[in-house]
Amino acid sequence: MSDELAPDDPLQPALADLRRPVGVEPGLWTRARVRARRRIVSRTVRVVVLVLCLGAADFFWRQHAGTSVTFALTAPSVRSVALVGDFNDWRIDQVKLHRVGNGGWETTVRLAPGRYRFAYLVNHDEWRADARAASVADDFGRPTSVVTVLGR
Amino acid sequence: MLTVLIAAATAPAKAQDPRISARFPAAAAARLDVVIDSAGREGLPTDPLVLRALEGQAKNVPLDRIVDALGRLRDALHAARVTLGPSAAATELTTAAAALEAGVPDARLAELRQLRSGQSLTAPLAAYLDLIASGVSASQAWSRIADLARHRATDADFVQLTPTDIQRGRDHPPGPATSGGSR
Repeated sequence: MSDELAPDDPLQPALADLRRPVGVEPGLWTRARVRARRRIVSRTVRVVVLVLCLGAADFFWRQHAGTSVTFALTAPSVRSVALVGDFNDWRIDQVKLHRVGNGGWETTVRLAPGRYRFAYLVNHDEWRADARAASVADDFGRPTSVVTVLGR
Repeated sequence: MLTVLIAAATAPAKAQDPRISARFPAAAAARLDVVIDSAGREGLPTDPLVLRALEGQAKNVPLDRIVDALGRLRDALHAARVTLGPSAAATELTTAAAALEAGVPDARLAELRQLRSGQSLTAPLAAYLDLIASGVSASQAWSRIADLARHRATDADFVQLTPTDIQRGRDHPPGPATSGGSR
């Protein structure tokens, strides 16, 4: 069986139409490439915007989620008090307490549910436990307290 | 079995926790990683170990003591998982490990697991530890905690317990004040 049609085949005119070279509009491929690039850029921008929105939502959630916990220490004659614990990776310079009068120092932080070890660092060199919180055994021979925060 | 052992031995080292590499010199971090990685390979939570190392660093403790402390904590986490079972959550294991480190017998953990089947043990264990730390005798504290667990108390019921409650039966949270949740 041959692929060629007979000369008098009624499909010949249609075949001739199909075989006729098609003129390509000048610049068509360039425009198609430009459109494809625009689509890619547009999709990339949408993904970036989505990622930024998710990041902002995550940041907002982290700032406002959890429970407010107020830490307080009475230490009239000290120059500085820092709150250091599991919740801030034991960074000694991250959370400072501020004076509230009568020798009191205080700060409030938001904590996710969990059980946290912490201590106060007074004048950058003296560790103190929280007298109002439970103390925990400390492998390192320094006063350490613990606070438990429940989920809502 | 041999294949598993060989695969475990030749497996690429897990990436170091960035908090460890940022706060310790490379040689010290490598020593800490040995302990932390061994816990990770057992499927134990590694965050408590990282935090204990950071605590030691903040408190200017010699490295040997930090490594020893991490070893003890890893062992306690392991024992906690053996007692509470493989389905125990990381927070439960961490609190149970703290209980074991504080001298709570593992039989008590197992009993609490039975009493509070299907519920988290974090709050009752934390409350139990806090009561003991506040001077309540271990047996008195346990009696109250077990009683609450038998009566399917909520997490808040446990955590709001104070030493005075043991005598008076009233709730009043001590320590750092919380709002919008509970302590």
